Amino acid sequence: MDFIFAGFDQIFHLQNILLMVGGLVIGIVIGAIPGLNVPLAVALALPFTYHMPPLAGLSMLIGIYKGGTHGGSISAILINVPGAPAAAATALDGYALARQGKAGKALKLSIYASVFGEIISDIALILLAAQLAKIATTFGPAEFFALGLFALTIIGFVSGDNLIKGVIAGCMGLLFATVGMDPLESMPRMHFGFYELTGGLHFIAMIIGLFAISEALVQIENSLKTTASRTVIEISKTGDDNRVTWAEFKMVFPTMLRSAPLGVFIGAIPGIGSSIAAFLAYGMAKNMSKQPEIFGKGAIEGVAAAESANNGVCGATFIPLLTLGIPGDVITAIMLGAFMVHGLIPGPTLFTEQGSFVSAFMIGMLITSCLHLFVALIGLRGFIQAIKLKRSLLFPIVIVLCITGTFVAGGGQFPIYVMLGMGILGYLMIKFGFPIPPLLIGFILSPMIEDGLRQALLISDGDLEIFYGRPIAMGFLVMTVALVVWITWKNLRTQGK
Amino acid sequence: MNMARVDIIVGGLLCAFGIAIFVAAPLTVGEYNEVGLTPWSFPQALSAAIAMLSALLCWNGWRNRRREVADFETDGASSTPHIIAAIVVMGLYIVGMPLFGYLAATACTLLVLSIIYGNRRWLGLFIVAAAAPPALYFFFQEVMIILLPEASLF
Repeated sequence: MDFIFAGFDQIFHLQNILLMVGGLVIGIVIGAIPGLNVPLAVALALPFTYHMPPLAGLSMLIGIYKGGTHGGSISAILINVPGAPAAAATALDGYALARQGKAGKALKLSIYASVFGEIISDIALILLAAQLAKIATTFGPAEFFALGLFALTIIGFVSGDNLIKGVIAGCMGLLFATVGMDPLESMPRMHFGFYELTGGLHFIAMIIGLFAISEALVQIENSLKTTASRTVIEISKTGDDNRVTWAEFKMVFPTMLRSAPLGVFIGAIPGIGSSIAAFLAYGMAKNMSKQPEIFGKGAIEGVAAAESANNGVCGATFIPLLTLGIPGDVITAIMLGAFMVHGLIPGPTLFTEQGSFVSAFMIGMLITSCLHLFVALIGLRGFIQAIKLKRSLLFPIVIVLCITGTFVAGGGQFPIYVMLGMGILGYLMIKFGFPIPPLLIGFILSPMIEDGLRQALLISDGDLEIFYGRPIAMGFLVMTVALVVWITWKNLRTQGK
Repeated sequence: MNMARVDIIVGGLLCAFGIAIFVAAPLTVGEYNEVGLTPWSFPQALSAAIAMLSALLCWNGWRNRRREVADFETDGASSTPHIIAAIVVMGLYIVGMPLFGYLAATACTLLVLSIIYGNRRWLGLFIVAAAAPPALYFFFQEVMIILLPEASLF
């Protein structure tokens, strides 16, 4: 318990609280706008945190993550266009409720359910992370190599329809990370005569290019295609249609109580993600409901289940990130980058060397969840207006922010060229059906895998027994092989159909 | 064009890229201590994997080349000039920032990019182009205390 309370002093500063609120507002607005997504928002905000104290900067990014995950439900409910993929399950009943004139009820229920899911998830993080980190402190290079390989199997889950393209993208990410200094010899390598590349590819430039610039280029096509403005359903003025009554809350509470832990469980497993959590919780709520026939036609339990599971993922995704240093999805991959930008390396050593920071960060997540309730309720009418913002006005500003942010974080022109190059690469990847997340995951896991492999082989004098003779390393390797076989088999079966 | 044919071309290019990196990787490293794996072993292994997987992608595309599935989105072809224009404008912005200063370069870039994105509401467009750069400039220079490029031409 001492560990948990150690961070209170650090987190309770006005600056941190204001940045959490600011992050929540930015996150909800960006999440609510179809076409903008949470990875883009976190990537865009990352350089702005560069000059802040680590805890303050990360608090803001957490606000964006949580706000953005929930923000997707606003457009899902009001215009039937999920602002984030995970909000698709919310749209099923949320939009139906909105069409019945109960948009206010659906929006408020989505806020309550999201915040409930987040709080459960944060509590799980606080209770489980330190325990898992204790086990991870026994890891040596062989274990980290095996763990890195195991984490790479996430690529199989985030590759979409084409596994080969996903694995190629992952290998590209692993390869890009080798540009710069060799970790063991401290010799420059893979710089191809560019002196600026000896420090490696600038991480912020890479993230912004891959996630923000590529998306901005894709949106040029979309903004030229769609000229008609969307019809946003207005919130009713009638009191009962505009609020969640106590009786309704009591009715949906058991659903939330079941869905949030499901979100936590799925969030703690790398690679699955909030979309699956939302749909699984929705299906579970429908199966357990006394009136399954009203699902899809405006069931408030449907909204509650999807939202509490969707946001229940948020805190739990940090369990593998903070304890083992492996990202569970694309947002945590960017967050891992944010930690590294601030000189913090997630993993078991973070708990031993920066215990009070970790504690403050986790308590900060819990505070952000509580603030989320007030920010979302107070700003609801304003956030609805965000849906009406035009892409043609928004994306030029996004591009300027990307370039300015990279300039600020990179401290020169070269990182901006890297960002532009990565943006073009990301755009081409989208056009040619290559998923972007595997590239980022490969880039992040590359040092762990290479360092682990080379250090382990140095220790063992080239003897491979160091991998199969140690139970934890062997366990990870067996799981990796099993997962690779399963993913390949599943992919071949899908192709066969 | 269907995606299979795109896969043949992209797979071929990536395969060539993988082979090129495999050959070039050792040439980018100077002297090193000959202990354990070399600094280029890992990049070489990865480039070999990329070459092999790309060849597999190419072969898959070749097998499916006659399939009548137009799954490669060609709608974007009409917007290609706009995308190229946007990339060129971004490049000019990066080059122009130190020459014309942050404020002027940002205002011009916002204006041109908004037009590329199809915005024809001139009043709103000019208001954003005029108001956003000073706001950003103030935020970085005064709030964050970070220096942005000043004009070097004038």
